[in-house]
Amino acid sequence: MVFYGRGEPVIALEKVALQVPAGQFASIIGPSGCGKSTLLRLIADVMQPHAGAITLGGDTPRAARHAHSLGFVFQAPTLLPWRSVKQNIELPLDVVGRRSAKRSARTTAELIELVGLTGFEDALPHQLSGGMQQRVAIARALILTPDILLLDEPFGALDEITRQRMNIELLRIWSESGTSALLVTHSIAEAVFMSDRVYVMSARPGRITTIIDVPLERPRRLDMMRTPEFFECVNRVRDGLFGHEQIQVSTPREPVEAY
Amino acid sequence: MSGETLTFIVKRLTQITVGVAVFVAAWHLTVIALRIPKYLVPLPLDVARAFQLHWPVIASHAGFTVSAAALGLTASTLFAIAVALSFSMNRGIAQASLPVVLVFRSTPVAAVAPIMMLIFGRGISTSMAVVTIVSFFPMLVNMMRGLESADRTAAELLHVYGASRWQQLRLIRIPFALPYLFTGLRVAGSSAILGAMLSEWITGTKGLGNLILDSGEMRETDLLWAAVLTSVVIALAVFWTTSAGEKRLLRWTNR
Amino acid sequence: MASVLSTLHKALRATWRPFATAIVLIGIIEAAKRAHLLPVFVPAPSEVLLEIWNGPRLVTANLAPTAWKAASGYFIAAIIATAAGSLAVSLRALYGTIYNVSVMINSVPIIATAPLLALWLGTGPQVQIAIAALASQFPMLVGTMQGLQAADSRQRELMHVLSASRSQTLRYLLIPSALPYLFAGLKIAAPSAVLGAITAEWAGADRGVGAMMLYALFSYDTPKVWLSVLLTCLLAGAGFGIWALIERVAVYWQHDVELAD
Repeated sequence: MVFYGRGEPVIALEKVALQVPAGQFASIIGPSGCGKSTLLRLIADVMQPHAGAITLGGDTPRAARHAHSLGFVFQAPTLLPWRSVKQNIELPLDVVGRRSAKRSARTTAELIELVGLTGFEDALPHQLSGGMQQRVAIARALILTPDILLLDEPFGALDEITRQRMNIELLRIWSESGTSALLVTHSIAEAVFMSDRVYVMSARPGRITTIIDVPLERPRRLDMMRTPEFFECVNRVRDGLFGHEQIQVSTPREPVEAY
Repeated sequence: MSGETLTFIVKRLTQITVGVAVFVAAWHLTVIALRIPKYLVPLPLDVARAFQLHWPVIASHAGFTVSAAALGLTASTLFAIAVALSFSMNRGIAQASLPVVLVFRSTPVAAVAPIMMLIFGRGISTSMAVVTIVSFFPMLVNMMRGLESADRTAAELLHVYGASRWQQLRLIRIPFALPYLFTGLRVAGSSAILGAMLSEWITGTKGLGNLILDSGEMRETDLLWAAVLTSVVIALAVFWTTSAGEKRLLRWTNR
Repeated sequence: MASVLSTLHKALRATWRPFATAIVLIGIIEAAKRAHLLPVFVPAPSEVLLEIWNGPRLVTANLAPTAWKAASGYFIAAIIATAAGSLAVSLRALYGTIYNVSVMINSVPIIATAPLLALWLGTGPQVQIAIAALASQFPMLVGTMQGLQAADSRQRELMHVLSASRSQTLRYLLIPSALPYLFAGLKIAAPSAVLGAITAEWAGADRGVGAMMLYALFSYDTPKVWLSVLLTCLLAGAGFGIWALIERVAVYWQHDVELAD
């Protein structure tokens, strides 16, 4: 994946391959500029790759997008300010045409309850807090019961406390919805806490350097963050992020390179 | 005048001359090509002849308009400086006078002019008064900004040296405010000319506004166009000189 | 319907204080005039009211022509400006040209256009209508152009991710996000149309608030002059106020928007 701008072409992503088994929760973590957002956008068919293939359950991203098997949650809630909570959640339904929405989409009421915003159906976005707006965005991403939920640093703008609460909420929503999820984040704790598998990326060119499986049991609880197992995973992620230069120098451990 | 300014002026004049030449040629060609009748749009040559014939009339009327505008602007500038100074000295006065000042902002010429005519009668003083009122608000806003713009550290420096309020004013705040004076003049300048001409319409005093109106009624198209052109040229000249002054002064502030 | 009522209610609550102040002020002026404390050119408010009382026909006979002339010009400008603005945004090549033409029209003063238009269009209301249109077009164009470009890139991405068609994006995103700017432009343009029409009447009209003003000035009829000034401000304010009210109902989700120059 190459970006052409002024000067040298920037190879944003090179030789990236990852596989997310159905129903699993995976995170991508990496430093700023490593291309993780680009990767997510490639999957969502917002951008097209120069080489390589992406398949989502056998479909190309474009087909998946047209079939509405993707749900995307942006960094900013990106709610339409003139629509109420209920109307914002139903925006995908309006676009698709209610009659042709495949499968019995969850009702809006169910989703509002799922994300914990009962009572706010008619509120306008500017009346909601940042965390609440993001919950609306998540509900919107789920209304067409997508197979895959893509999240691009959805809680980056929130404070730590709200963020942890939202993490729990998201896990609950995810487990009840049964989708696969791919989360891009720059918080190590968040990545480990949420995922079954963490992909660590490095920058320039962007590629996956380490894959870490998180064996913690589900449902996850906040007190798990104090366990030694949690710390071990966090450290492995940290090594993947910062330590692999040292690894190359000091120990003859090969960086796990995806093929 | 420095060599730099000289080259700038020469360059400007050349640009203007070329621009005017192109404009006149295009005008002439359009009228001929589209066969526009003379009473709708005259040829440049006819307008030039009108200028030649009626130059004294045009000049004297223009003189009236320009003086009305200039005097009005001067008056409003002085008022604006006084008010801005008092605002900066005393916060309380500023707060209390805000609603009054806002009235000046929204009053249109159409409403001000008749009332001024009631007060001042049919002379040039009405035009002056209208110009003063219409240009007061932009001048005030700019003078206030100008007084506030003095570099904070420069003011503190003087303060450390024990400078009096007056010295601070003279050495720091006035020099910093000067560019804003020109900004205000630029903003208010063209509307001053317009305001003067509009006032002439209702008062009937001598001035370009009335020249335009009269020549229109008399169907003296050439003279009408000549007068209109004169007013446009004057407005442009005002705009350019004030912008040039503003830019020149801006060179040594860090705006 | 309920939202319109509540908007009106809110508007009343916000404006009652200035109204009250105005009434008190009027009372003070009246008293001062009775006590011969005020100069000749300030009439007693009661005299002005008497003018209306004695000659309501006069008021309506002049208010109506100006109002419909201004309104006609305004709506002509609105149609042209919104069309031109939409064109400018959809065909990038024309953007600069359309904008510059609008700026140029805006800079030519009424002084110049009124007599010329009178020459070309003849006497009659068409000159004032034309000038009202010319005077009000610029804010409407700017509002349209800014409005149609107001949707930010995130929102457009959202539409893309949802696989929305072009017309869907227009309907669900571009038009609603344009409304605040559009209404801001329409709001600002209304007084300009009124003032343009009235100023154009100074250049030659037999009926209208501007004509009434001239007539009153020539006959040194002070209360009538003030009355015409009052009518001018009322008409301009009404134009603005009506749009402000419509804006509050239509753009229910936002506060005031500032149009960039």
